Amino acid sequence: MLVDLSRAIYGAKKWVETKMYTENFGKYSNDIRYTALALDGFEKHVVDILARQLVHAAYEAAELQKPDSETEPLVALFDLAINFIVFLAVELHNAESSLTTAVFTKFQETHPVYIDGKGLIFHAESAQAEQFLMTTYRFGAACNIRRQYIGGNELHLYAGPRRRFGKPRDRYLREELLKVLGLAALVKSESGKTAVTGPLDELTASYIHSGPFKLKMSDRIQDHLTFRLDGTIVIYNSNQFDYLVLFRNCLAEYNAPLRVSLM
Amino acid sequence: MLQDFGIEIWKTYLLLFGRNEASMHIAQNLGVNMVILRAFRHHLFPENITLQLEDFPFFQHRLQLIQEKMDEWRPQKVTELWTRGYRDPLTYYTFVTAMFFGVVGILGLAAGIVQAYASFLSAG
Repeated sequence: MLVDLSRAIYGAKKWVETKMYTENFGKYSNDIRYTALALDGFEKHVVDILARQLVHAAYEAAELQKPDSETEPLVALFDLAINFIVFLAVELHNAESSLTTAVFTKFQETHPVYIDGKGLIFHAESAQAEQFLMTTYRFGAACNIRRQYIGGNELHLYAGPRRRFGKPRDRYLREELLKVLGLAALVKSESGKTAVTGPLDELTASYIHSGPFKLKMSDRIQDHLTFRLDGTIVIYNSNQFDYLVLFRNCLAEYNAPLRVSLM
Repeated sequence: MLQDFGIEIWKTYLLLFGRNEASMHIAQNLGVNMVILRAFRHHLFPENITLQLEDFPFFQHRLQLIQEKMDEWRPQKVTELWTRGYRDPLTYYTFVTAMFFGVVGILGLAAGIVQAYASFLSAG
């Protein structure tokens, strides 16, 4: 079992390929099998989350780059890569045959960044531009098995040869891919741009209580102004208000996905 | 950021509870700290200014959802016919009027039956 464990830990084998999974004899065999399955799932989940956080950190760092550079900032490269992956996915979805180089040419002809590009990657005719798109394609389609994490498995379902498309949903494709790439915060900020305006004159407790809804207090700050099935609107209890508790709640929510995956 | 968030929670309190006496009374019944609410209103919003959705960067979507839910509410069960909606009082008043005339009709019918029975007894 120790040999199996060490092999699995150092990546020589997956848990499900080890003897402790395949030759499940003995007193605790079932427990070991379930543990092996769970470890495989957890491992991927943890690596995925860490990778997404790294990608997002890299994106945020790229945004800090000075705009008056002689070449495009890193954030423009991110944008170009993401746009190309989305373009590939949509093109493959619409096309009946598999990918050809025509898709690369079409992207370079139609995408506006190639019109006045500064760096070589943004010059459609350059070898660097072609190499960048090819690398992006490999990453997006998970052709490089060594990089199967960082959302590669997920993207493979969209942009790879075994693509998964039920109903047309180009509209949501960009958002989905951004989430897979660990850039979900961009989805939020993009959707947040939709202006939410309007008066709130009628929204008083007396007006709410004059109809079917009622207000109810709660000690959970995350429930503030949410609905319950019984028609109550939950209000956070101000007597519990404490910046320290609020800070802890924020931290707990931020770390929740990682904590769940480690359990 | 945390401080902005905390202040916005109090702004939602002001929005819901701080703009008329009836709402203040509800706040008191719910156990809201009225001293802080009044102080908050006095210092930050001395005049009863109109609050807009854009004044709530954190909670604007939740407030908008509450508005939408209130506007869209319609009675789904028979028991809910007695509840007056926020945007469509016509259903409620139609039901109340129909109930009124229904009760009057039933009472009239019962009176007629009693009267007929009484006259039958007196004739017999």
